[in-house]
Amino acid sequence: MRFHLKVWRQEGPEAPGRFFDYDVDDIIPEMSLLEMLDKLNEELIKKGTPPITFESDCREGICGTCGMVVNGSAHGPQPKTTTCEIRMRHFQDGEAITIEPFRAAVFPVQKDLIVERAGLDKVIQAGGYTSAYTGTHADANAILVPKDDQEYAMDAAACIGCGACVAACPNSSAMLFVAAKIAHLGTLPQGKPEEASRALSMTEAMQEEGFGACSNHFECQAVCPKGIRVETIARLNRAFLKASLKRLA
Amino acid sequence: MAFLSNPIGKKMLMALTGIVLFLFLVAHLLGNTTVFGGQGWINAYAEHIHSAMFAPPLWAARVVLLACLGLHIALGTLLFLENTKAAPTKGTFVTYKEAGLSSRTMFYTGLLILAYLIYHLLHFTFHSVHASISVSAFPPDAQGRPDLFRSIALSFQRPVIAGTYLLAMAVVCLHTFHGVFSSLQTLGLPGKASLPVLKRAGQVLATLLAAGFALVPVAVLTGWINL
Amino acid sequence: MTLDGKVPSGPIETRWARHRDHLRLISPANKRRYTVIVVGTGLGGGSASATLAQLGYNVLAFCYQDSARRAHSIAAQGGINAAKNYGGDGDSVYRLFYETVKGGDFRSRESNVYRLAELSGNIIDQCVAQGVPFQREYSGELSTRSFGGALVSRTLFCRGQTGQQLLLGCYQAMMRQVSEGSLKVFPKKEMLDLVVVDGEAKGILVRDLTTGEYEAYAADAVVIATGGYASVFNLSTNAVGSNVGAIMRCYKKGALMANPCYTQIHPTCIPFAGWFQSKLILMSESLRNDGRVWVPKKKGDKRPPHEIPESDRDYYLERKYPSYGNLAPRDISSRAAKEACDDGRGVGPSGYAVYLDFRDAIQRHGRKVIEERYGNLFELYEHIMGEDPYAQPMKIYPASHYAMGGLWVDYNLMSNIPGLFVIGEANFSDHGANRLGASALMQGLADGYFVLPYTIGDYLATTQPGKVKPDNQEFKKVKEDDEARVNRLLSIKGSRTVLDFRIELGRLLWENVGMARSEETLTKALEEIPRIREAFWSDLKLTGSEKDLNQQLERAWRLSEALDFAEILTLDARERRESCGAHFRVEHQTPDGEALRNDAEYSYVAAWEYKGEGEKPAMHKEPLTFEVVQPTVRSYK
Repeated sequence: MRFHLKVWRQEGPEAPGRFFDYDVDDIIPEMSLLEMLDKLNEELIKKGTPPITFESDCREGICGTCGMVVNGSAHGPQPKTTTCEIRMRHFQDGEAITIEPFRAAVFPVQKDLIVERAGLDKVIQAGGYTSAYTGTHADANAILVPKDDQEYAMDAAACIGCGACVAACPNSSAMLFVAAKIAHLGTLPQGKPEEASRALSMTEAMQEEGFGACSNHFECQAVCPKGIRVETIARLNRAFLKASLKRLA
Repeated sequence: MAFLSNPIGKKMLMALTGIVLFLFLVAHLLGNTTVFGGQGWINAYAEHIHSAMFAPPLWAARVVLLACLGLHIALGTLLFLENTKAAPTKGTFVTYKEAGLSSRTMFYTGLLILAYLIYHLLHFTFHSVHASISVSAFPPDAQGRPDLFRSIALSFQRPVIAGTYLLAMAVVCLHTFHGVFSSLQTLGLPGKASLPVLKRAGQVLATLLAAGFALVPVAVLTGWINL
Repeated sequence: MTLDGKVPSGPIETRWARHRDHLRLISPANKRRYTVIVVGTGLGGGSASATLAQLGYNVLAFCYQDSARRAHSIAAQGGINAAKNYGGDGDSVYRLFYETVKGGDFRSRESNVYRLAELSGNIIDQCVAQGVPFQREYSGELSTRSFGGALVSRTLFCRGQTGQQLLLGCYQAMMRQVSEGSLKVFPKKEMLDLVVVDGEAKGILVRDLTTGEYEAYAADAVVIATGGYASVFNLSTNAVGSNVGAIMRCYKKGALMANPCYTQIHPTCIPFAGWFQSKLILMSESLRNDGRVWVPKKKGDKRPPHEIPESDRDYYLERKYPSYGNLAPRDISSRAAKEACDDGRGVGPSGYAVYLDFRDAIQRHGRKVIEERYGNLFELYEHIMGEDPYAQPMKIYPASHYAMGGLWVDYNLMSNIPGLFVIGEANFSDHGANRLGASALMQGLADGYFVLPYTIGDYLATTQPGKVKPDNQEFKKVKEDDEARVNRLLSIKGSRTVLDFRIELGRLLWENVGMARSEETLTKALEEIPRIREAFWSDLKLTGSEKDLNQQLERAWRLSEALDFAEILTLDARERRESCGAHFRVEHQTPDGEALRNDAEYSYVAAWEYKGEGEKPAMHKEPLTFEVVQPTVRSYK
């Protein structure tokens, strides 16, 4: 297979970026998109050209490191897929493929396809945890958790923190990211006690970090590689309302 | 204040004021339907709601409505500016999957509606635009009531006025197509199963509302309603 | 050098408790005066950072990833063992201890393993308190499942994402400490070197991966939690960034490297698509319960699988191991697959794959049953391979997966360099020659949550806090050395890329130091490795500069360490002239192909000491004594 690539290249955060055109050949359908870039990079290095800088680590869709906009979609056009999971057989032979970094004011480009995502850590620091210390705790079975609640929590906890929701959101909002954490912890008895303060502090931190607000476009849900649903955002809104009323009272 | 400085808080107030405005539109539409009863009905309705008996509550409603409108516009603008700042660009080439034209143009359709609202009020309420066909230009009807029916019929017989009205209703439809459900989502109403149902219901409601409004000029233009 | 494991004596059941009771303590008010560096933010490093910070130490955590939530612990699928007896099938701390010692083929320290088993229950309680959504039954109680090498059902899990959920628990605990100010996380900073002052570990030198700047950080103790070295094989289930750099630098600063030859090869992974592939993805081993493994009988048979008649298929596991068949142990099935492919009978485009066929199981049980059992795995496979495993057999191949060996540590998890602690996969301590499934997560968390936080105090109590500052001469010297080394890499200006060398080294190790090792292959590898290293240092081509985000340079640095490490791995494998666990020497096997252990001569931990560049390292032996479990032959009959 052969492809025509348009790849965003940018030397540094302040440097202007633009698309560069590359032709790649001898691509086998089993290759992943990132392996195709690896191959292209090998060729570039041999020519003495700086290779395309991009991030990835586990390459099996769980660490959340990789993240690019492929043909206009965060993590590519396939649903429930991370960038590293994209296989070349999903493209037409000879197709032009556009690759650019995640775009958001809170995700400044560091180099080529790498963006800075520290904002997501800051949002978790604002309360995305239970305040359980390391030490002796009640037996894990002492507090029963209804299976449905556990499954629901697990659905939300599957978030890999890749930031695709932010990249896809026309407002660069991190609502799905926040909502997933609120839903994960708030559904479990261990996380419930802090739910109100968590909902307030995490959404405030989200705004402080420069993420936008939610306009219910639901683009986040469409690109989420782990299939996290916008219904968790409604849940977050309820938690916020409850917390605000409680604060008022 | 903490509520308002929170991104969800702002959105909730947007949603609440939006719902109030939408409910007003629903009430307005119900009032409009009297036009299909003929001259007697709508003129009676118009006089009725202007009667002294209803004056204080009506004024209260107007104040609330105006406050909601003001808040809706102010917060909408603020959120628009904040969101634009958070997302200066979404790349050169973006394909949308779930976000439709409606959700992506809320701010602009809102502005258009505001512009139309001003024109609409100048026409039918303040009679300063199209003064020759406004209610004050006509003698009272047989019962001595202001002849709103005649004003409506003559106005919509003009294709430009009817056309503008229809376009405005299309914009209202576009705005509420996303707005109705979005408000419910922001207020935290949907659950796992009800979310798609509510979304569809919101879209249907928005379409029905706009279609209801559009029926009047269409009826005039087709001659169903005439003098 | 005598290796003192500082293993307590007395009844094994109370060793840890008694030991802990006599560890020195630091008063709560004084803890904040001590700075501890933790390198790596996986399960070990994450749990240690959060706990040390919570105790009041001033903790600095470093990772090469862009966030503390991404370390490769996140990719662990199966589960975590805990001797909770939730299954009601007679599990106990002793049984977990016994199975782990036996699974490690009697090459681990009894006391360490017992402590691990003892702490396994606390880990689960801790994780549940953090909000880890372990699978539950309809009663609301925790679910368990059985796993390889265990006779009871003691594995807790979060779907196929157990590692992720446990790691997020650590990460969230860390983020809490960050918000409270006791922990600072330094992402995108790679440890280049350990700084040893007056014989004690007092800091590290890092390279900021964004700016390329060198930064020195001083501390009162250094904790290494940088994972294993399976990536030296190039193709492994590890992350593409996983590397042996940090532990190698510690080794070169005097820390001993223990049992580097113990590397685990996992039999059921998705095969590679070509040499450009960066890693191999694991498929749960449970598939072998219903799948039949086969290759064509004829070499180079390129017919599609459904066109190959029964008579032309070689169900080699069933043929060679009639009693165990497709459920033969990991090492045996891995080796058998390699043999078939080396014989030219492998399938797939590369010829390095074997079929795992569900045709018969689907005929026998119906598609629905198979779907219920393996639905998500079949989906994953189809997603990656683009082939429907219901319609045609899966293609699988073994892949390098885990490192049992690592830096040598005593019972307190401290290396032979005072102040240098090593936890998780980076140390050698608990798994012996082979690790059982669902035990890696257990060890990382036991070390980080419940062992290190106690034992590190015992060392810190003997030191003066803040004794060494970053302006110490030693930091300057280390920085100069490493900067020179980085510049040397950049100044080669040869013709071959880092990946080129990485593949060459990986292939060499895979073929000669992989699943089946012999005196001959190991000797060959020992001759070849220096040749590759020499070519690397004379013909490497890098682009870009030092003071920049330069991924090629990062990889070159890591590979330069892997090249040095490969030699100790191979040397250790050659010196261990017995087969045990994952270390299989073809000269030492029973007539039916089982590993033949030699307890009389090799019941020891081989700890290698660095003797300088180009010098042969020296081996020190820590004898292994078994007071509770008597070593027996592992039998699969």
